Amino acid sequence: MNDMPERSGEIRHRALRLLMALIPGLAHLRQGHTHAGLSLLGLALSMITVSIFANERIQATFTAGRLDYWVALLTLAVTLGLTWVVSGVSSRHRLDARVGGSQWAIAWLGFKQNRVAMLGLYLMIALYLATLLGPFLTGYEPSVIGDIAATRHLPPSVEHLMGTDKFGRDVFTRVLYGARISLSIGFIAVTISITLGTAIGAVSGYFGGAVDTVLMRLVDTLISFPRLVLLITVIALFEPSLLIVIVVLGFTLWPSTARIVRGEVLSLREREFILAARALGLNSPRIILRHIVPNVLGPVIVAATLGLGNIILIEAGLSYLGFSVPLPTPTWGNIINDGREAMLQAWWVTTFPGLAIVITVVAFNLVGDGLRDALDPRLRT
Amino acid sequence: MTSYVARRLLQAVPLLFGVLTLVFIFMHVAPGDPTALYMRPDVDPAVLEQMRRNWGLDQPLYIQYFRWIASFLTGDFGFSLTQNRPVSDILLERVPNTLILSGTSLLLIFAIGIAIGIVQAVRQYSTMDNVLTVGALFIYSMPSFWLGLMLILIFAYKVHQLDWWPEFLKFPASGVTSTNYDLFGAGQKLGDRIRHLVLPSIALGVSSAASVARYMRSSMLEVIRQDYIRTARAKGVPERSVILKHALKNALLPIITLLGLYLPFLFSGAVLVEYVFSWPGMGRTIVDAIYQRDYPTVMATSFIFAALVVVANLIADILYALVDPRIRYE
Repeated sequence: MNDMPERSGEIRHRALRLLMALIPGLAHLRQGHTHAGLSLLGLALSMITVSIFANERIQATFTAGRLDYWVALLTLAVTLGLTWVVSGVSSRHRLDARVGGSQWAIAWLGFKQNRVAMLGLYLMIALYLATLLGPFLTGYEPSVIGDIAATRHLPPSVEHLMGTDKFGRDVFTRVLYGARISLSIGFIAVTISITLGTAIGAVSGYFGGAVDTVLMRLVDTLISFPRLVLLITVIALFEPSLLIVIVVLGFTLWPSTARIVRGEVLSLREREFILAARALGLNSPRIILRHIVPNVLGPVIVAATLGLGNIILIEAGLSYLGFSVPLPTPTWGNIINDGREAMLQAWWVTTFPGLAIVITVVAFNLVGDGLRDALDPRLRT
Repeated sequence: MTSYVARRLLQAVPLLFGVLTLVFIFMHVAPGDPTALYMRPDVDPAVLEQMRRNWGLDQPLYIQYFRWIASFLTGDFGFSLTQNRPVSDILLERVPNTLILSGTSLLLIFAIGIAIGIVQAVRQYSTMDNVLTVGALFIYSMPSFWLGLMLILIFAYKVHQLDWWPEFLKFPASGVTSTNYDLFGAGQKLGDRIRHLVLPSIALGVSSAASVARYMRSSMLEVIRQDYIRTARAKGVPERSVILKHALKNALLPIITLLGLYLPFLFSGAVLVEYVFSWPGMGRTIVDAIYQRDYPTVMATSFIFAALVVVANLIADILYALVDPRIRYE
């Protein structure tokens, strides 16, 4: 009789633990980590909402035989699974970076406290998720032309969130699929240009002398061309295609990174630990790769994030002029160009893709600024 | 000072050669050669061959290279494949338009950017400062061509549906002058040109103005914290002249270097903005030339763009040395 409260307490405790295991983020909320808890919970809920609303399309995955459906399904499953795993693991082992944490853990802590930067990060994650989940978020196809007479230039409504274009295609769907091109071109091109820039900057700064002179004159020459002019001049030599655009972007945008890295390396080169490495008889490639590059990674990551925003703007400009991925593949730039002639009757076709560009670039710039504050030890107190 | 200028000039020369070499390489990768203009069924291939020989296209590459550089340096940019006249003629017509547009934008960028930067620095962390910072972030992230389209949509078209909108705030959507420009008097002509400049120069300049404001704010904040400013305040100089006289001069120094940095950025934007506003400048020329596969025009225009950047950087460096004596003795 008198062990009833104890037992009910235990049941309550067990029920709570079960709930916490079932609902991601609940454990964080109970521990007072409102921020982390709410974001995990929100992420899981939005994924579940998507799977309920896109039920038919998810089933179609198995019959449609299309890669983007499979990618979307995988993204859905992995994201949902990750929220549980992350929620379970991180609620039990919360790392305390203030005590003996690594450089990166300290930087993450600084970044987390920057609310504007976190907003940018959330936006960025949402954008990438929306891109990957594309086919499940819309009921239309991006390039299929239906009954033009009935669906041409419809204003934004619940059915067509961003209206329809001159061929009666849903603009929201096209913007969503266009994000794929913009974000993936940006990502790959930045990877190429950052890798090249880091390598060339490190070599130039470390060896100095004639190597440095030659490489830096090359950098000066490339930087003298206005970016877009250089890009369209080179692209004009080829037929524009996805591959050409990525390669040309990657191989023309590295000089600014090379300059940043070279500057950092010049000051690193004189530091004691590099002298020590040399005295130990390590060869140059090893010193550069193991001792120099890790120390310039901070500014490089910042340059990459800010560069991503920039490249998205540049790609939009290129595809606006028609020098990027050819039609009918939608990109943000060519949707805007498509809507240009009918701008007066259908303002929505040009307006919304532009807003998508602005939001994306704002997100990358916010994250980039936040990373700079978090990674630059000179700014840290 | 003279030795500094001489040194900077000497640095600019190899840079120009680098630019020329790069353009030469592009030119040779480009499909077709100058004889493509005459490649028609009724022209005998032997005649084309003779033309190649006359133009020295059968010479070894290095000879072609030096000849080509010599001709470029003397202002002979070859023959346009589509317009049937020398490229230099086309450029002579187009370069001033681009310079007018970029120059107006540059003025706008620095005037607006510096003013906003000062306001933000003086009222650091106020609501005004925060609003301007957020606004600048959005404007900075805007594609110039899209902003141009939106400006056209609103200020050239939609405002005509509003009765109360003042006539002088309706702007033309494209071109340098109105169609009846020749009928105007001198004053009207100038006014017409300025009205046509408003929208494109805003579209082109506003994002750079946002970033100038950002630099100006931090530069001003740094200066305001210095001892001599405290001294000025302590001896009772009015706040207004502390900021605008004592602080502004020093805060402006780093901004001058931006002048050279923004020009390539501005030219990039000009390519798009000129296309949006049908502005007959170099940007429009290069885009049209690419559409028509007119390679000589493409290459010459891109060379002029780069050469202008090199010259502008030179001017910015010299200006900087003029106002900041520390630079000269570096």
